[in-house]
Amino acid sequence: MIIRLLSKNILYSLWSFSLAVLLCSLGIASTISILWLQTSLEAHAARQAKGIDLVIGAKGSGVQTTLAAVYHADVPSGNISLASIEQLAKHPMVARVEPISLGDSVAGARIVGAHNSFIDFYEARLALGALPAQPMDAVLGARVAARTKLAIGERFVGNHGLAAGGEAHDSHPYAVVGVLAPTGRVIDDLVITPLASVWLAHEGHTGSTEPEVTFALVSLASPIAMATLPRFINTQTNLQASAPAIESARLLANFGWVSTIVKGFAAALILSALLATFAALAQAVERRQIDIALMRAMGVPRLRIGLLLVSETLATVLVSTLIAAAMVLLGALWLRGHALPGLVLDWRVGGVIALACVTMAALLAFIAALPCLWRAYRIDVAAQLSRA
Amino acid sequence: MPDSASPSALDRRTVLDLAVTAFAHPGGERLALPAFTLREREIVILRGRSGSGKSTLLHLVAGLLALAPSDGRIALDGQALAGLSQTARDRLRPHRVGWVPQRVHLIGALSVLDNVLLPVALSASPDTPGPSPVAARERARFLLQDAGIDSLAHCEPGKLSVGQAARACIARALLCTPRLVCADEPSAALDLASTATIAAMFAHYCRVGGAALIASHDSAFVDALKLQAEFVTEISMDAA
Repeated sequence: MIIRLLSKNILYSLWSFSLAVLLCSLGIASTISILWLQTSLEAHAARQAKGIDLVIGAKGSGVQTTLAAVYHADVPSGNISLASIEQLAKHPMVARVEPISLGDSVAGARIVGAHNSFIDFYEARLALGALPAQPMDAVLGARVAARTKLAIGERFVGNHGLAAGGEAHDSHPYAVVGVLAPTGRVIDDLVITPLASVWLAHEGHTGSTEPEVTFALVSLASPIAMATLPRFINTQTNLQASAPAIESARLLANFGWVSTIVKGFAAALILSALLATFAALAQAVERRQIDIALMRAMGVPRLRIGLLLVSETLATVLVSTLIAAAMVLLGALWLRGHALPGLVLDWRVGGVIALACVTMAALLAFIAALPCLWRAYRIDVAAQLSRA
Repeated sequence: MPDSASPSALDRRTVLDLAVTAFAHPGGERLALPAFTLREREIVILRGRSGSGKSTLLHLVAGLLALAPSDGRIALDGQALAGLSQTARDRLRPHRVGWVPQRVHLIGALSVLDNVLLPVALSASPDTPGPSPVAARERARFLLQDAGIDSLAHCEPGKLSVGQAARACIARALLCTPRLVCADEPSAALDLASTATIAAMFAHYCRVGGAALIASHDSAFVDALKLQAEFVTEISMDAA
């Protein structure tokens, strides 16, 4: 009967209930999305930079170097000599160096010249075929293979530049020799080929007589090296050393205000929802004073009447939660399928954030309901019945 | 006053024993209230001018107003009400007092049947579980049939006439088979036919062992009660 009374009361004031649910679900969905997306993006950024303590490139912006070398989301500022990188690899503070060469692309995927150890560096393994054995052999990242439908043994031509529409290197086609299994890292969106392939494709283009690479991804031997080596490289050589961890943090800090504004907007939505819930409940208590007095006259305890009113508020939060969960789920699937294909969404973290948001919303809704509960609790039954 | 010395009165158990010397609402003037005893199968009609304390007396008997022990004594089915907390009085009410309000009022969000079932659905507690849902439903259907509105059980209250709604209110008050039914001007705003019907409902309930305390200044209603009930006593509140 309580559930029937609850549902009938909700249907009776459907418009105010719908408004409260709309605001509340938007507020909850925004809050969950922002917190979950922020957590996922931070984890995503950290996963892409795993094992890369430093990026060495040509002199320029540290943020640009990190974006171009680690996330493959910017263009490099120039090339550096392979010899200087090989020299750096002998430094006692350096544990591992992976030189990479950029410059071309195929169907929007970057072609990365690198040693085969680059594939190990990203903890990737072959799903099909073999590793490159000679120049112009190419291994496709999992998403590149899925998108381009290139099969082992097929050939393709790289375009000059990292954007579509560049000059095609027709004279130096690549041969697909292998396909990598998905890793959830940036390598899924790359085409890996030996360094010599890039040099062959750009023969006569660079104007340099010695072999060049674009970046070197460096793992340091100890945390202490982080304090001294970048400064040494930046001041004593013509190379640029940037630390992805520091540059990413700086980048996120620069855009922190966006996150703060969106969080504020979500908080405002939730507060509006609570005000709407409070207004709907206050209106309901006013309208149902005689109902409440009659129920009291029938012997219905005050606590049970309070529960009935609270359950109306909690029903708002419950329905809003279900709608918000559906909105977040659809948004997450769209994000992973279209906007950020490499983004790994941790459903457990999402669940914890959702639970925390809903608990907070329910608590705030209960607090918003307290004045109405007090009013219902204090109803003068005899006076109401005399008016009835 | 009821004739408590008659043999039939001695056979009937006391439902209400009231001896309130005076009562005052906070900030209001003191009302002199009559002392009387109400037994099973009996209807006591409180008559008097507006403001004479009829509703106050009903509220005190139903435990809706608190009575200090110094103000007098009300014993409902042997249970003294004076000095009891509101929670304790709330707990006593469902199965001892059925309430019929002055103005017909049913909860608009529920059907007529659900309105009648409300006291059992919402008042049940581990101490007073009341009838089972099936038994309550059966009794509600019986009461609606008795009131002649069984066919309207699943209607919204808004579709009932005032007379039909008044009968539904009485059915709701009788659902838990309370020891005493309190009614405050139950025939106000009713036509003669409806007045006769609700008088018959009260009379029937009392004939089968119930008791009623009714505030009314409707002579037609009182006459109808006198015709149909076994024991009817009128008490003038003006004289108290």
